[in-house]
Formats: sequence, C-alpha cells, structure tokens
Amino acid sequence: MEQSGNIIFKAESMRKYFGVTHANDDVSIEIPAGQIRGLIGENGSGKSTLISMIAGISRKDFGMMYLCGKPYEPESPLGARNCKIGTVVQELGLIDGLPVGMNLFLGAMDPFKRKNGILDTKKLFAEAQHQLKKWGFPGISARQSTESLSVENKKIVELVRALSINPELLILDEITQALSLNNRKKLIDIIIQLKREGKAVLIVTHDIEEMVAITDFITVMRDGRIVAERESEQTTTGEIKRLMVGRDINNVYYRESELSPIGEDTVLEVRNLCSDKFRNVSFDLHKGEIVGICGLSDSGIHELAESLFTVRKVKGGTITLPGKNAALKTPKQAMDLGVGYVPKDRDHQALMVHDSIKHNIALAAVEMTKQAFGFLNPAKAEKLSEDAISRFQIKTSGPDQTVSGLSGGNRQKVNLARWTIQNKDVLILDCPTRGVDIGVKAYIYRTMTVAKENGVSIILVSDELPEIIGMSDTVLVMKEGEIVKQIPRSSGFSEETIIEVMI
Amino acid sequence: MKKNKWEYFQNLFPFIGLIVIVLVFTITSGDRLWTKNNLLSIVNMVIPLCLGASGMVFVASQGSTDMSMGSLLALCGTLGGLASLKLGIPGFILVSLLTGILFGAFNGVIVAYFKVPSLMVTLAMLIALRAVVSYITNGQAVFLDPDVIALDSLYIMLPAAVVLLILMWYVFSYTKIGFFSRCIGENQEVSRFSGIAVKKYKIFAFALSGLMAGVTGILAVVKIGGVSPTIGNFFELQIMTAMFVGGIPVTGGAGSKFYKIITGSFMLVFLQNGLTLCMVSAEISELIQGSILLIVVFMSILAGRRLHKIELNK
Repeated sequence: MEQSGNIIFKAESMRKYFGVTHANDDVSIEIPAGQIRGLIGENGSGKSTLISMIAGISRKDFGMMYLCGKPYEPESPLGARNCKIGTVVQELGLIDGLPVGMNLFLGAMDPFKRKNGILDTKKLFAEAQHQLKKWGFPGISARQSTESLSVENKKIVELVRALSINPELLILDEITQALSLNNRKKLIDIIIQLKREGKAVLIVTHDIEEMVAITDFITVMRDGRIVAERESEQTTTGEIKRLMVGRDINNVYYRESELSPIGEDTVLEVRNLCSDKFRNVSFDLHKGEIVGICGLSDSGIHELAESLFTVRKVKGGTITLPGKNAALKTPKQAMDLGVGYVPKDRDHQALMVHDSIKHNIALAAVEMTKQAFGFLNPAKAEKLSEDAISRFQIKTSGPDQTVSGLSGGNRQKVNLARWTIQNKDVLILDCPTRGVDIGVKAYIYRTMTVAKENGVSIILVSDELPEIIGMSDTVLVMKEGEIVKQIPRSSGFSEETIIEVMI
Repeated sequence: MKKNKWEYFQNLFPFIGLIVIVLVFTITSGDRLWTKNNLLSIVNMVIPLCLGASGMVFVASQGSTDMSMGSLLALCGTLGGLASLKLGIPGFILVSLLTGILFGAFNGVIVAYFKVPSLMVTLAMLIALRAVVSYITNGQAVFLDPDVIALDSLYIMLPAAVVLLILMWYVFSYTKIGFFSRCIGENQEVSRFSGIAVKKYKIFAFALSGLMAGVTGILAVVKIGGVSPTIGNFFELQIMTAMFVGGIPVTGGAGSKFYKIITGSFMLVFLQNGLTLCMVSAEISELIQGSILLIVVFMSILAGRRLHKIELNK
C-alpha cells in the first residue's frame, strides 16, 4: 500500500486505433488520491476514447492500466464497476422502461436476490432511495419510471449510480452541461467530499472556466496525445484554449486562393429555419461560395445540414432557391433542383455498404441512367461508375465490387463522386473528411476547390475547425442551436476567435 | 477470389437444387414426370406461383412481408366473380385488379405512415379479409357464367402469364420502383438520406403485391369455375417458400433478383408434383418440403457468413 503511494489510477502508453486513425496514441496518465483531474481537448482529440477504455466500454489495443498499484483490465463496464471505478458517460445510459431503482443497480442486483433467485424489490428500492438521499437528491423517487424524468434528473440518476459503489475513481464525461446551476453546486460539493476522502475524480467538460475553477490539475489532449499538463492554480483559460487548438495549421492542402470572387447571385436562401435542435437560422449562399458552418457536435450543425436537404422535419422557416423560384419541400425535389447532400455518417446514412459501387452511384444519380419508359439503363450506370472510379482514382477491382471491401477513404470518394459527377449547383457536405487519411482529405479539398471554381456553391458543415477555416468564404459559428457569429473570409479568421464564440 | 467462389455458390445453389430435384424425380417416378398431362399440371401450378411472387417480390426486396396475399386473392376473385355475373369479363378483370391494388395500397399506407411492422399489418389483413370473403359468399360456392369459365384455357393463360411476367420483370429489374425497393431493403436510412421517397415506394410495392393478388385471384376463380370461400388458403406461404427457396434474401436488398422467384417456383412445384407422383402421402410431402426449406435457409446463412468473414479479413 505504502509504495503504491497515493496513486489511485495509472495508465501507461495507452493506444487505440480505429482503422488508420489513432484515437489514442501513447497516452500515459497518473491520478493521485485526493486529486480532481480535468481532461480537456477538442472534439476527436481522444478524451472520450481514453475514458471508454478506463470504464471498460471499449478495449485498449496496447498499453497497461493500474488501479491502486494492481494491473487493471476491465472486461466490461461491469468489470470496471466491480473495481470501484464509477463512470458517467456522455450519452444517456439508462433503460427508460425500468424504474429508477432498477437502473441504479443494473447489472449489480445480486445482493438483492433472495435464496430462491427472486429479486427482493422492496430491499432494492429501499437501498436505492437511501442512495438518492445520501447524495443529496431526495426529490427523485426510486420507484418512479425513468421515462418520466427530465434529462437533468436522468443524468443525476446516472451520477448516483456511479457514486453508489463508493468509487475509488469517479469519471464524469460532460455531465455539468446537463445540470442546472443548483445541481452543479451539489455536484461540486460531492466532488470535494470525495477529494477529502482521498478518492480521485476525472472530469471532462467543455466549460474551460469551470474546469479551471474546480480541478486541481488539467490534462490537455490533442490528436490522440497528451500535449500538456498544468496545475489549475497556475494556468488561465486563455492558456488552456491555446493548448487545445495550438497545432500548426497546415495550409498546404486547403484552398490556395485566399480571397476568390464570389458570384452576386444568391442560389440558396435560408430564412428563420427552426426545429427542436436549432432556432432562427438564416443565411444566404451565393454562386461559387463555400459557407462553412461550425460548432460543437451538439450545437445543431448536423441537424441543420439534414434539414437543409429536407430529410429532417423543421418547425418553421423556409429554404428557397431564388434562381429557380422554388421552396424546398422534399429531398426528391431538392435533388431535381440541383442540390446534392453528403451526410455525416458515411456507412449508415450515405452508402449501401453491402451493395456494389455501381448501385451506390446509381442510387444518387438515378436520373442520369434513366431513359424512356422509366428504363434504368444498366450500361449507363456501369459507364457512370467507371467514369467516377477513374476520375476520383478510387482503388477498386471495378464497379461491381461491394463497398464493404473498400477502405474508408475510398468509400468517401464513392460518396462524393456520385454527387460531383451530376454537376449539381449546391452541395451540402456534412463532415466530408471524417475518418479519412490525409491523402484523401487533400483530394477532397481539391475537389471542393475545383467545384467552387466551376460555380458550384457548397455548404460545408464540420466540427473540424482547420478545415472550416481553410475552405470557407464565410464562416457561420453555431452555439446551442443558434448562429452566434458570421465571419467573412476577408476579415480573416483564426481558430482562437472562432473558439471564443463557439464554446 | 475465395469470395467469388462463395458468391457463385450462393447464386448457383437454387439452380443446382432444381436440377437435383428434377433428376431425382425423373428416376423415381418412372416416366410419369415427363408425360404431357403431368407437364400441363406443372405449368398450371407454376403460373399462379410465379405471378404471385412477381408482385410480392417488391415487398420482400424492401425487407417487408406481405402475409395477406392468400386472403386478398380470395377477396379479389370473389368480388370480381360476383361482378362478372352482371358486367361480364371486363368487369370481372377490372374489379379484381382494382380490389387488389386498393387493399395492397392500404397495407402500404399503414406500414409506411404508421410505422407498423408489415408482418403485423398483413397478418391482420390475412385474417380479416378471409372473414370478409366468408361473409360475402355466405360460406357457399357461387358459380360463374360459362363464358367467364371459358377463359380457363392454356392458350389464353400461358401467353397472358408470360406477358405479365415479362412486364413485372422489367418493372422490378429496370425501373426506379424495383431499384429503389432493393435500395430500401439494403438500407432504409441510406435510401432516405439519398432523397428516395421511401413511403411512396413502400406503398407502390404493396400495391403491386395487391395487384398480383388480383391477377392470381382471377386465375383461381376461373380455374374452379366459381367463387368459394376457401380459395387461396395458404397461398402466401407457398409464395414465400418459393421466393426463399429461390434465394431471395429474407432481409431484402440487392440480392433480390427476379430470376430467383422463377427458379424457386419451379423448384417448389417440381418437388410437390414429384412427391405426389411417387405416391408420398400429403403429410410426409409437407414434412419433406419443410425440411428442404430449412436446408436452403441453412445453406444461405452459411454462405452469407463465409462471405462476411472474408470481407472482414480483408
């Protein structure tokens, strides 16, 4: 006990790969007893990956973890729980159909089993109620159905679930933003209490000021690595922000022309678009313009992209094409009017993974294969696919190959090619470079630049700031469902100024 | 290369099965399989099966199920038959087909707009429509006019069936309705995000399935010369068996090819016919049919797994 000192948790050289991306690349971290540790980084910097490995949600590829000096290899979230690591993950992890008490002890109900194997629900609910009260949330009833709780209270139930095991290490991933001010205070009290008891806490939040205020020590991650560790008392929010984004912005593969002419004509006009995920979105898209829309993942940018292609319902507002005198109502109409859409989730929204390249291209470009009597000419689909494959240098054995046999980058090329070959006027691209390597990225940026020069207007939705800055003529920054700032390229953008309004 | 082998096997399996079945019964039945009369009865059995499947394949390729076809067939035949007593042959055909399209589209609307699983909707229709038929006919058989019954001639039925099958083959393989149906079966979310009006094409598919229920209803009524409340019992199961034996994937998608329903129908008919010729009792015959379906399902799952594994190992 003595020589393991008071290091509660230690990870050494953790690595995790998703295909070619290094989600975690040689990450080592040590958390001593009685410390509140903050973990911060941009989206995709690898913090959630690290946490999911610690919490037993995903398996590490390489590396070692130690808990109180002993090797720690969680098989599952339950394994982590049994080792007294309590985690509250970003996504809601409760079963709506069960009462609160059941959710509290989900997977850990053995103590409440009678000898005959039947659950002693009375004892379970009593214990659940006791836990809720103990941690300061007596307002929630253990017998209540989880479905009837507000999002905030659901988060609290998850928090109590993590606390109920008396964790040595408590991990909180983005929990504060779901809580009201009042409950945040309670949470901070709980954290301080754990600290006094010599436990360790690991907190992830986007609220930098809050993080600096409540933590003892801050670890900054970027691109899957730990880039800096700072004592909270001796740092500032400004420094943390710089550390978060402070990569060398490599401009070479973005657009070369700094300021290129944009047409006068408005090709797409969005007015007061509202839905449950965003409010009052208005902007104009001009001929040959690239409008970049950026924000945190949950700021409504992806939902906005879906609504612009009308695959997601809106509550109000209009999307019009002034040149064609039409308002967009259905995706089919949008396609007929020259709008193309590359959704965010390539494998679940864009491509039929188990079907051929040919069919995937024909799916979006069906009108180009059509002849009299609605005849879809297979020869035309074949020709179209061959053109796309050669133009986009897609590495494949031919148009009949199934998409599942392609690499991520080549899949994305298929996805993009099938719209580009149609000479659409407007392209909505949602995270077009997600999960592809640098080479394909550069290629996609070149394609976008060429399309722009040919007068195609592009809406680029992305949570990757460098690409927004590198490609856009106008940047719209979204925060909590609203456009908070509109910046033209001429005024010059920097990551710092955008992050300032984004977070 | 290894992958291709399995793909070929998956696609060839129904053909091999068909050849094996034909060979086995050619030998075991003595020469009775290839007599003129027996071939005629095979054609008579295959036609409704192919036609029914040519409609249902649209629904199946979307990954949905249409259980209502047997009862809908009976309803179409009954209403058409009753109409023919007053309106003659044109009324007969028109009423049958319209009834089919109407109830098919109704199935489609419920499935598409209320997001009810198609199995439930069409199962309910299977039961309800059968009851309607019994109510209309009052449990009795109704006989048709001789000139309507005169339609039951191979010289009319065979060309009509061939023309219809070619038409359905064209619509399924070479038009948006068929292509989008396969895309929806492949991945409904992807189809929606690619701008396909998924709801519309679901309704189309069920309407086409209903239309072919109308066509097979006409065939059935003409064949027996009257309307009876039990026509088309278990027809939907026969068609599904034929489709799955032929290699249409239960989940729909790109693997749904039109030729498969033809091979499947022939396989099923040769099997049933051959077993009858060999004097196998009805119970044993059904047992054998069931077992063969199981084997087919097993083989296709096996081949599918191998394919999947090979893809993963890449």
